Amino acid sequence: MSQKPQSHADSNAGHSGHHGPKYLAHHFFDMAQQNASGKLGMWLFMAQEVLFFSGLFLCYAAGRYFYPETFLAAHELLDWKLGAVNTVVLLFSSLTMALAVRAAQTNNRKAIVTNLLLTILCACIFMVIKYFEYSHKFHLGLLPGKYFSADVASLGLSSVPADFAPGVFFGVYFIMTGAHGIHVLVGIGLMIWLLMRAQRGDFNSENHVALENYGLYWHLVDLIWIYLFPLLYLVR
Amino acid sequence: MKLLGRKLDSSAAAHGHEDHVHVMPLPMYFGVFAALLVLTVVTVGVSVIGLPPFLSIVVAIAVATVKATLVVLYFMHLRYENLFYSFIFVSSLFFVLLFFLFTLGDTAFRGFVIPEQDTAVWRNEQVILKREAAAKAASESPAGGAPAAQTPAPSN
Repeated sequence: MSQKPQSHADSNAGHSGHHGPKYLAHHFFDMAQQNASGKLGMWLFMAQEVLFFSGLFLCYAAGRYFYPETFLAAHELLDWKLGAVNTVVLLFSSLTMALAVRAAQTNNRKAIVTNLLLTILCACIFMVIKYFEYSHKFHLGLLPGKYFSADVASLGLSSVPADFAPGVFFGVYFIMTGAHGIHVLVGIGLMIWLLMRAQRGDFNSENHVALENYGLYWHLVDLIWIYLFPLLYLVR
Repeated sequence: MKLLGRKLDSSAAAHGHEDHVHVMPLPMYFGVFAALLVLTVVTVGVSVIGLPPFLSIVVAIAVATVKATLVVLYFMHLRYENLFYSFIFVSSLFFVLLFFLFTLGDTAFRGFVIPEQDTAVWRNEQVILKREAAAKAASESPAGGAPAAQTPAPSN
């Protein structure tokens, strides 16, 4: 079991100058205030991340506005089945992440560790699928912007518009999925750190705001993919 | 202050005891996940069925927004949190909306006013050009050609 939260009375005894459990920083009045401060900072960061990706989505909107037929034709070069699998994988990882936070709320250390491991596994599966998608595109020469080098005629598109601008589509595709992929990679790294802390018994029902805040980050990563998938893979 | 029965204050961090942390019942997690899976199937299904281009984007975004709402309310626990966090999150969405409205509004209406045909400067330039062309024609043709056309007053 993870260490149970310590009441004020217990921890005051024998600790000179220490006004609470050891995970309560000295500049906070109590854990409630400490946790609320942490959560407030994280929600502000969430607002920033939303605005960050909104710029990329706007780029997509502008690209699609000026080159609608290009987007329609070029999306056939993306495998929507892989995209759908990735969507399900990320949704499941969101579930296990939320369950990990719930496990901390109920002082269940083993469940925290198990759920974090599952989330990490899902994230890795996502990146592996992404790797296969990217390497296939590099192999065909489907590259962003001016680096697009595939022979359009040999791609087997059902219809090629007169003003076909595949560089635009793949520029948008790689920037958006790339930025998202970097977020997943960073997430995996952070999760490994949280896993080590959880294994150590750092988290309990009173002190798990780090886990909760990371959960917010991970759900946002999932949120972005929820929007990316239909806009990139399911253009009809 | 309380709004909709939940706390709303920016001094969430300054208060002492927060309310007892709300633990969602386990079935709720699985229920939300099941709903998300169903909505994913709907997204794919709608795209396979095929809709006219504008409608397909609207439906895709609408379904994605329902999924996003579920994730934000339940997985991110926003439904049970201090309303101030919701305020922060929703205000970021408001600014995204503003961002999109202004930028796409500009993008969609480019070329709406065609400068070459719609400004006084252009019209005056045309007048001057006509005058010069007529003067040139008059000087090249045998003397006695029709005098240059009367210059119309420049109008705004």
